[in-house]
Amino acid sequence: MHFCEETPSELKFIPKLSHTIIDKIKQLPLDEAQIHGVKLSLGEALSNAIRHGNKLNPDLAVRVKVEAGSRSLTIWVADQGKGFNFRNAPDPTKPDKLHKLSGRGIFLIRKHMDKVTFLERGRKIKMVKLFKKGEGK
Amino acid sequence: MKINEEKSGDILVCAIEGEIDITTSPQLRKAFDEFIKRNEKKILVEFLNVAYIDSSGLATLIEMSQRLKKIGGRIRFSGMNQKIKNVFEVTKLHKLFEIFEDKASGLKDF
Repeated sequence: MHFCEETPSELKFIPKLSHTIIDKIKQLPLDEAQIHGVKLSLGEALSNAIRHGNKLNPDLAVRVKVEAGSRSLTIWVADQGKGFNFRNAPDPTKPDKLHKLSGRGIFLIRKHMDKVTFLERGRKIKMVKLFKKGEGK
Repeated sequence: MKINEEKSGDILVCAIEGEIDITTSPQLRKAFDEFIKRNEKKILVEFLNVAYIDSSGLATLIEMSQRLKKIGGRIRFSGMNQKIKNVFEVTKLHKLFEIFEDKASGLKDF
């Protein structure tokens, strides 16, 4: 499996784009909970790219690349912004951070994907989900 | 997303249907604004038909809980499926909120 998608930086496009991508991913050997985790991670990555990366500028695009082989699914989400310091993301589960309204997006991605890498100074995120033997379809 | 409301004594039961995400969270915030304007102080949010919640949905619920506390109100949640429960557990927000298995236990002693 290998395909690419692109969207202008408007939040209203996220559900349709996410639905299109997740619909194609459903044929992969992932169970329902894993697909939910991928959907959540993709939604958070798209939201970050549109809001924080491209600052909601509809003239800037967010590009998504999806690849799947026999052992894993990889999704890249890239924006055209200035990047961000991904090393400084605090743990939102610490008692003093639980009440905070923001800061859970990247945390949720890390929890639901097996490998998460930031590229191009944070303008691109690479998320990998491994297929586990004996699970999924 | 659809938001249905009904009263059970002095408790407002707010049943959400659909997905709570970055595009629907503003609608949920608007409904909560209305509840606060109406001086609703006990709100039970039913998740029975919620299939998905993202970080913006979680933020909206935290914000609502904080606003209710300020006016002496409370919020409870019930009817979460395993996927939604998992999002609350992973983020440890289950420690912050009162979460009940079903509507009946959520209404009890509220």
